[in-house]
Amino acid sequence: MRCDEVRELLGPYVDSELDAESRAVVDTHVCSCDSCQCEIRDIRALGDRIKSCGCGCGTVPPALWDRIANHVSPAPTPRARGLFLRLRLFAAAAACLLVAVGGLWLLSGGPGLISTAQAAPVDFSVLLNGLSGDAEKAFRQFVDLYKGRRVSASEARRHAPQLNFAVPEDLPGGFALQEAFALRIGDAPAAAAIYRRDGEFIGTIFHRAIHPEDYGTYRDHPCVVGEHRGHRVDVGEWRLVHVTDVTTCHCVLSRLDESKELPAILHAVAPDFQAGAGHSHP
Amino acid sequence: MNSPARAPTITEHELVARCQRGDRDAQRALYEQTCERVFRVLVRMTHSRDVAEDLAQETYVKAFSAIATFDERSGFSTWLYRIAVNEALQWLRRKSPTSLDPAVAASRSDPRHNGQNTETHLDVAAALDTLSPIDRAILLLRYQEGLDYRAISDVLEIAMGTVASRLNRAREQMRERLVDFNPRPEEKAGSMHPNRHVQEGESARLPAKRL
Repeated sequence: MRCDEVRELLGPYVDSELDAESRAVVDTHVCSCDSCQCEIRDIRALGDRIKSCGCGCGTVPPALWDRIANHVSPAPTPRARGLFLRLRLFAAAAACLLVAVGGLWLLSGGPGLISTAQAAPVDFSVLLNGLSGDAEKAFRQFVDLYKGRRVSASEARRHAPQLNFAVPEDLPGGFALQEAFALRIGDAPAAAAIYRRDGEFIGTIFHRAIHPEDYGTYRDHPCVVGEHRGHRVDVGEWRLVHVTDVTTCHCVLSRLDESKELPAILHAVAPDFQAGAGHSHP
Repeated sequence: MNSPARAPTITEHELVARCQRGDRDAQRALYEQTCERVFRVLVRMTHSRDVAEDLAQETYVKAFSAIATFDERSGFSTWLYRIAVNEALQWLRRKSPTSLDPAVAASRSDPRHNGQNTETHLDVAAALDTLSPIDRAILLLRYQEGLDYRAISDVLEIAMGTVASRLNRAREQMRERLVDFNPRPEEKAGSMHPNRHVQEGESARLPAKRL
């Protein structure tokens, strides 16, 4: 192996991040290469210098905990816990009553169509179930499910000011904005948009970061989009990619390759993605 | 002789579970376990104890407010680091470059601080300051906090290959800056490895065990 093939492995080599096979390859090369030995010494020396460069952090301010405690909901007091317990008992009794009434109602004929409980904070099943047919129609059904109303791009942004996202007029690759929507998921505002390029459709959804989301029978896979790790659900040739930072889940529904066109699109709709601050996207 | 009685150790998992039930004592215990590291990384990123205190408060308020949604895919400490680093990155994005906190500056220039000579110590600190916030964060997390690539990847939510390539690039930038600040005769003479430059945006091909 030549120096230029080994050089980018030397950092991970020094950091003990290589597997045994790669480590052995580097070991063999380094034994007979003075310049790489010098490089390794430089990397170690730099690491030592950074490590020993203290910051004068000092001790944690003693009042910090009190400041935090004042801003976090207090734990239930014994009295409140008693009240909480009574409320839970009341809720349980009410639930039993509802189940009993509901059961009698069903036994007596019922409505014939029973809606299932929504366990997930964001229910993507209506979208994912429809992707094998008309993807755009499924996307619109999802928008309708969450009371989507058509708005301008700037209104969509103003509708959810606590989220970090963008609804640009154009996306990289020649996709043009067709429609933007203001949604409401539970009690939280959210937004969505539809883009098109020569008839090809892309949907974007932005909602409050909530973990974990429930994809029902759909399996989600970890994925890497540009420099961001996220996860995706594949349905046929469609994929719904989610990349989440502290405040916002950025979802892009497309048929695009996550290693080619998708990184630039994700960067366009999530320009202030927190984990990527200060760096450029490839 | 009997060993002294010791209080049973409560695991982080148990503390998180208790926090999720609104247990203030568990919140305090988790805070006690993690606050030094969180505060340290925030001071190192912002160079201001006052700002770090505000951001640490915000970090814990966010963490405890959202702890019901914490799914333990990563450790609580990693999750907390992620929130703290994001708070610092957001703050750095919002703020124009600020002067160094006097207390931090004084400690940096104190040669007794870590046994190094003042010149070298200042050089490293100044070189770190020239890096982008994300590159500085990666170096701080790796060398000062001792996180491995997997943990850095979890904190910054970037791929492990990106961690490796960014570390390579940040190290390269640091060495260039340090040469600029304080050129050494042997560096002037060109003893640096001829092939060590990493291209911008290049991802290290890391056939590593956990990629």
